[in-house]
Amino acid sequence: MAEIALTWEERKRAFQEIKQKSDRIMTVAVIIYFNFGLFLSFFYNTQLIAMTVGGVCLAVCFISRLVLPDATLYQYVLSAVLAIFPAQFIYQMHGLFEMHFFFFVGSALLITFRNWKAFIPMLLFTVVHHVAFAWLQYTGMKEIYFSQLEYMDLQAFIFHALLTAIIMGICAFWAYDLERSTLREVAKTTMLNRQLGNVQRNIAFAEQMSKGNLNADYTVTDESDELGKSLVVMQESLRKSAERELEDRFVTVGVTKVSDIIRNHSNDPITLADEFIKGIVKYTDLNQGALFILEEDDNSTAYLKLTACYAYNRKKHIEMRLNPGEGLVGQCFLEQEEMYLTAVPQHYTKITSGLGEATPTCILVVPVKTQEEVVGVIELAAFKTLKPHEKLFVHKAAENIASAIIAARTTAHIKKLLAESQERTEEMRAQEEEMRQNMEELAATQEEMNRKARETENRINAIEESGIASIEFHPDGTIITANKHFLALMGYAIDEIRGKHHRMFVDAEFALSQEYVDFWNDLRNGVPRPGEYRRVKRSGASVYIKGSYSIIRDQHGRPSRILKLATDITELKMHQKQEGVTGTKEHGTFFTVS
Amino acid sequence: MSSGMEYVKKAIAGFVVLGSIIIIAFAFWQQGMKYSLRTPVANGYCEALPSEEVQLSPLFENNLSYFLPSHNTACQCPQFNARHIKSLVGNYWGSLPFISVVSELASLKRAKIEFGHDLHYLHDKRHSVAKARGLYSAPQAAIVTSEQKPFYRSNCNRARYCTSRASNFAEVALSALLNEQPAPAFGLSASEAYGCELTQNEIEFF
Repeated sequence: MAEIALTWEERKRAFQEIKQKSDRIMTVAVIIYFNFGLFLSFFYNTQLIAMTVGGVCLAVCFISRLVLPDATLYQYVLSAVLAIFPAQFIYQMHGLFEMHFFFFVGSALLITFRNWKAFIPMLLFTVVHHVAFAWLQYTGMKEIYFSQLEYMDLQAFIFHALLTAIIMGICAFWAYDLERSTLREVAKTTMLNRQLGNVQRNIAFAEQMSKGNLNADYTVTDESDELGKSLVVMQESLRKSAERELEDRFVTVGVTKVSDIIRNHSNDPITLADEFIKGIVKYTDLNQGALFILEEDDNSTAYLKLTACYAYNRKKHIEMRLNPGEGLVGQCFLEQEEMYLTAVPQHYTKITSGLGEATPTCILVVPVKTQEEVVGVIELAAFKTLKPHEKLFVHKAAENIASAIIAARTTAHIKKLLAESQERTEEMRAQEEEMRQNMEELAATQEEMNRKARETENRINAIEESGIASIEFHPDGTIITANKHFLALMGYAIDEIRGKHHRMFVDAEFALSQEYVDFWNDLRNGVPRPGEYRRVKRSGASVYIKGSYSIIRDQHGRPSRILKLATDITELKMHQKQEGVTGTKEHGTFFTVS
Repeated sequence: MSSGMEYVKKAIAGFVVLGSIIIIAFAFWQQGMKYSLRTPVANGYCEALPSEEVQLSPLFENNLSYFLPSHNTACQCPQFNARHIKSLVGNYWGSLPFISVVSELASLKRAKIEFGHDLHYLHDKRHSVAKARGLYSAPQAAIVTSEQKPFYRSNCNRARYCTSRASNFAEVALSALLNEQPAPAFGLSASEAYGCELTQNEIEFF
């Protein structure tokens, strides 16, 4: 078993019983010594010495023990007294050598204290006494009655001193050995008691922990109490674990509450912001809070708008607008990092109540951001310093509100896009309907046109079949096409006339005349020219035709083509000519056929 | 317990121990001094000359030598050399009579207790013998020759307890007397009485 260091109290307790027993022995011993001195006094009438020296020795023993019962002084006094008594006895018996045995008796008695140091006063007294007397005797002072011997030689004195030293040494050694044995026994007992006490304390401590009292006070008083140390470590681990659990729960519950707030007010951004900042401030037991949200003004300039606040001094941000980089809030927005101040400037902000105001102890500025985007800043103030888990909660809450804000903005954007898309779809649908109607109208028109075309074609065919010659001109007189009756009448193939001017059908003189120019000016101006006309064939022969130069107009009513329908009236003209009917111009209309 | 009270107790214990040492030392010293001082010389003391014949009590026979150890109760010394006297009595009994001269003021009974019953006692009324022999204190003894002349009057031994064999003055003188030798001269250490505090009565009366 390892040596243990005993405390003064334990040592005192260990020697208490021995001390009491020794005290009883010594009390009896000194009384016997005193009485023995009285007894000896009758031999040579040394009552005065017996009473004086013996009485003083007796008294000093009891007084020293009475005054300082816990000190070892009285043991040393006793030691000296046990040396003085033999000297007294020797004196009383006129140097009777046998009285020296009382010195050995005293030495043996002193062992009972188990304190080797208690032999020192006895040794000192004996040495001083003997050396002094021996020196006096050897220097010639014959009045010194050292012993019954006339003269004690040095050899005898050395033997005397040697034997005394041996006796005292043996007694002191036994006292020392007994003291060590006692201390070892006491150490063992004390260690067992300590271990027993430690076990009981450990059990009580473990019970406290099992009941959930993780803050139970426990101090390991014994370095060898490994179980106690382990329990303390376990308590610390459990306490940290519990604290961590509480902190985690704090964060989790807080985030849940924030999520509830976001869910309940997702449709109302203003209420959401108010409830959010109020929820954070109350949940973290802070005193003041504000939520700044990133906005853009009409010039597309980004700024932070004080959207919601709790117990906030609005005078400080009366404009409720901060630019990025402006103040702590703006700087936090730019850096996207938390700012935590515990040395708040005196006039930075005040937390006010009806009774007064005070500068907060700490300021926490947290960016409202997701991993990709910063959408605002939360500023919080409190009279207490924030713990790490409280800051963590604020960060998570900021992330949640950031997500909510971004989601709300995304939703709003999508809604806007959806509305625009719907509007566009509606417009397209309308346009489609309109197109459909147009198509239908177009189809109807086309049908009508086809019908008309067919009618026209039929009409043309009828004209063709009727033998009426027809030719079409551009308004400038250029020939577009002509039917076979015209070509046959005039003696041309279509390729020979297409693209050429009408003047090829009149003689050169008429073609240069003002009448001819006016003729075409009228046609270009939309004035039809019905009548009978003389034209020149390919062969150069004249041909008389009766018909009309009709105007074909475009959709705007402007003349686009000129259609000439005519019948050959040459024979009629020739016949009339032969019968003398006049009235027909050679190159123009002879008469108007209505 | 307050430290102040503790200091007071320590101081008391210290004073007691110191006082005890002083008292004990003083007691031994006082006792040592007491028996080392010279005995006061009695009034009217006259030293008897060896050649001068002294008149002893009629109890003494004229043709006998006597060894006269003194005994005085007022003086502690007889008890110191009682053993020596007894030894002399034992050794020389038969050679000459031993008569202890007990002072008138002393106790005869006590003298007998201390010196034993092997010698005679003379209760010296009016100190006649003591005056005649010059014996006024212990440890002193006188030897008177058969001619009634003082042969020796001095201390038994230089040492208080008669432990110094070399200074057994009385025994040496006795031996000289028996061997018919002249009385030895021992000097002041033998003749001067010491260690006895005679009472004023003893001094005056003598």
